[in-house]
Order: sequence, then structure tokens, then C-alpha cells
Amino acid sequence: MTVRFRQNPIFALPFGDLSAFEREVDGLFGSVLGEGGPAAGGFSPRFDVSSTEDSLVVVGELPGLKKEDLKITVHDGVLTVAGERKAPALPEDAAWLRTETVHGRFSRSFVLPYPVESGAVDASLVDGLLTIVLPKAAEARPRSIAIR
Amino acid sequence: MNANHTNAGSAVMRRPAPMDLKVAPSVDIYETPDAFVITADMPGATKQGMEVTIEGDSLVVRAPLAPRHPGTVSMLAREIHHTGYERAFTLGGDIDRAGVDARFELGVLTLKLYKSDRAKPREIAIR
Repeated sequence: MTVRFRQNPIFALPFGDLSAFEREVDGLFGSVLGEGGPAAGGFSPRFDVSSTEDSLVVVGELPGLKKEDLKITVHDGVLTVAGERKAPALPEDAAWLRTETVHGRFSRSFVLPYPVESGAVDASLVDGLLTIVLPKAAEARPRSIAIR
Repeated sequence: MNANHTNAGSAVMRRPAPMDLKVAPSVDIYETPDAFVITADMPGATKQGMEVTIEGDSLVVRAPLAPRHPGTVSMLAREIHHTGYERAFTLGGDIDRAGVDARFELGVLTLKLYKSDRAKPREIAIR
């Protein structure tokens, strides 16, 4: 089976003349964007939504976020996950060589495919992965019908 | 029909195995007077599965994702397609190969690569 890479995994970390050049390029973009450092805005985390027998499961990638940075609401059949990833602080007398991660505010909403027990929703954030489990409301659960 | 044919036939009927798709994690790198610090976004990886190796001039970071959808009956939306992370970095000669700190917190791997003494800024006393 072919192993595919979405980005080139082999990426040289330049420690020679290149880094000086990159600092210059970063400096150029920094002045255009109004600030240096990691790219501001554009943070749009990816989510998977799946269904088990008795729950809807929503999983999102939120690296670097703490639970205080997140707000999860269920309202009118819509689940909304909103939050902010703060830009990392650069220690004093340090300089960026490369900044690829994205930061800023985000909000993602999901129309729930069936009614859920909104009082029993469970959310956990482990290793940058948010998992929200929304139990199906009684009327949405599979029911076996007895044959008379 | 021989045994090989039978095997080939049943392989076609089976569900295809999930594709092994590794992506390069996004990284930020900064330099301090005595070290280079790399942070890599690797949400869903675990400390136990994380592999950081240095071989010669190459630093390689690898981690599989833990399975995320146990007991799934149906997938309703899928934006996360990868099954793991992998990225290699080429180290310059001014990095101390023995002194690398690795930390994994909140889905972010932080590597601190110390400079060899030769590469650190030094103040020269004037006699």
C-alpha cells in the first residue's frame, strides 16, 4: 500500500545562512500583518462526527488549548464549540526561525442529526483532542418492537 | 483452483484496511542564546506512542494516533484523515546531540535542543 504524505515530512531545519534569510522574510511578513511571530487568525480546528448505538460523538483537534479556553453549548439542536488558541509567547532574547502553527479565535457549529440529552453531555480534553459525547434522547434510541 | 486464488478472492471481499496516512505536524521554531526550541502540534498523539530519535544529523519525530471512534455505527462527518505524525529535521553541527529535552503537553510536543559550547555566544574579557 502506498504511504501518502500530505506535506513533505522531510524538512531541513536550517541553522546556517538560511536562518538569517528566513528571519528577514518573517520580518517582511510581520510588518505587513502588523505583528511578528506565528500567523495570527485562520485557526479552524478539524472535527470528526460519528454516531454510536446510543450517542453522538464529536472529536476535534485543539492542540495547545486548555479547558478554560473553550466554550461548548447545545442550543436548539445545534452544538457549538468556540474558543481561542493564544499565540505562544517568545522568551526574552529569543528569535523566531520558523512559524507554521495558527492561532486565534474559532467557532464551529454542528446541527445535531437527532435529539440529545443536553443535560448529560460529556466533554473531555486530552492531549489536544476534544471529545464530546452527546447521549441520544430516549426517542432517538433504537427500540425493538415486540411482535404480538 | 489453488489456495492462492482463494486467498486473493477473500481479500477483495474484505473491507479495505484504513490507509496509513502520516502528516507532518506544524512546527514553530525559535532560537535562544543557548538552545533551539521546536514546538510541534500533534493533537491526539500520546506520550507513550511518541518516538523521538536522533541518528547522525537527523532528528525524527513519529507518533501514531490513538483510535478515536470506538463503537462507531456510522461516521457522519470526517475532517481528520491522518493516522499519525512524522517529520524529520536536519541538525546543524552546533547542536549538542546528547542534550535534548522532550515534553508532550496539551497535544504539543516541545523539543529543546541545546547548542554545543562552541556555538554559544561568549563574552571575551579584554586584558
